[in-house]
Amino acid sequence: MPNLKTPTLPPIATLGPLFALLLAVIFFATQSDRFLSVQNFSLILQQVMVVGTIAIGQTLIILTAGIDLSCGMAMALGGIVMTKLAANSGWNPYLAILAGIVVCMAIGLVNGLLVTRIKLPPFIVTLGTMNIAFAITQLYSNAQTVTDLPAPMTYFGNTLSIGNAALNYGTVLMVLLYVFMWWFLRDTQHGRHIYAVGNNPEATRLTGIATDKVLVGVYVAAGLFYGIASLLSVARTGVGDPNAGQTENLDAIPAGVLGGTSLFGGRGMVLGSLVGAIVVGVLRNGLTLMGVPSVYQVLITGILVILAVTTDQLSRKGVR
Amino acid sequence: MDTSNRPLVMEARGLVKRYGQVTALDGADFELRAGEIMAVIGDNGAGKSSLIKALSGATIPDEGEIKLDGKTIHFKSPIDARREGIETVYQDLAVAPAMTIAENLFLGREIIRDGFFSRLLRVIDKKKMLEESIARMNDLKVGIRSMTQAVETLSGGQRQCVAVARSRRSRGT
Repeated sequence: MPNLKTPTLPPIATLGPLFALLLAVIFFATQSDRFLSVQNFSLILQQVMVVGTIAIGQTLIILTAGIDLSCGMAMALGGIVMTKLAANSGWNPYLAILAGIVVCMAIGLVNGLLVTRIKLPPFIVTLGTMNIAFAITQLYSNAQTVTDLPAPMTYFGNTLSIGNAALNYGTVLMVLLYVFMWWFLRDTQHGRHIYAVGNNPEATRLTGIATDKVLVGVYVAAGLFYGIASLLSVARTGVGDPNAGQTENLDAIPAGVLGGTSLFGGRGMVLGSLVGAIVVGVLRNGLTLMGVPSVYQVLITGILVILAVTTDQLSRKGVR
Repeated sequence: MDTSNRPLVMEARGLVKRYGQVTALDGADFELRAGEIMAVIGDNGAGKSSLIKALSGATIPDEGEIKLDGKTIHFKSPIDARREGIETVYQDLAVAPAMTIAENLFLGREIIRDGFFSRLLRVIDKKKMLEESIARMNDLKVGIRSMTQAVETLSGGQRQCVAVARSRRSRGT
């Protein structure tokens, strides 16, 4: 009988992200003597916590065969809302943080409803909400940075030292969120339904799963992660920055795709996105150490996305 | 065998289903009596699938009435229909290719683990689902080595078995 072999994922597919990370590390180690140091790696992890947290939300959406271009701008708006409310409007800082997160979830809700009710492509919907969120951020903040933040807002920027390494609380939170979502996607009914919707939406609907609810839930949950990322971004920089989220907006997608999540939906693992986010972080850090201007970093990230998606497409060809 | 005097199990009157400008069902009637096995035959585009979908809750007809055991019913989703004992096996096999056989068999009706925490987060009982899957596939006498292999690695016939097994309960239950 044909096809009876038990398929384990080809090792290269699961180890690909780690392999890419290793290559990048080796390359930059030969290029800069400052690269391979504990301090530098602590810095990379601190830099990665924001994009890494956004990438969780982005990965959820990519798993449903969607894409979210509004992620970084939603995060920027959340950050401005929470800092303005706390610093300028005198809100209780915890309430202000909550309000910022709720704003991000509201953007997710709008995205989700437009995708499910009016059946618009996620690309177009989130292209629109990206611009809307950016404009509201600029208007609400008068394009001014918000300073004088209360202590709870920068809590996650505090570091704990382990020898020479300094790990901030935000990075620890990000890793915990990854572990939780990895378990959630693997072991709960909701998690499996997210994969099913991405894998074959019509078949999933025919089994009686309310696919629209799953999708809206995914977009709102993604908003939750963007909201948490706003708090981490505020904590890291110590200010509410109306121009935050612009590199993250670009980096979250390659983080997911480099991590092995298929843009065609239904395949991938959220932990891969953590590795993907670190790859992107290492790349940016290494290029900066080499003195490469940031515009070339954008260029390289762009090329990387296309390469990663091409690999994804080619490797699925045999199966589809 | 004459079944015309047996009780009606399912009947439909005047079913209409339109998709935009296309009328897929134009006042279709349907009768199924106890013990009958019925085949619906027609040209491509005749409306066979639309009829089956209307009867199994996959689409909601625009007009008409469906009765099950004499009671008028309004299926809003395939789950409603399944609750009344109507199972559907689709020609395109409606499976999630990257998911395992066990997951496909239980898609939409996963077994949830006991305990407050598990119920709250709806943690699935993989072990039970796996055992039940093995039992169901054994009933169909399908030689599939592992229930944790992805459906896309199966041959067409094996996939068909997965689709059929999904619509049955194993003898044990």
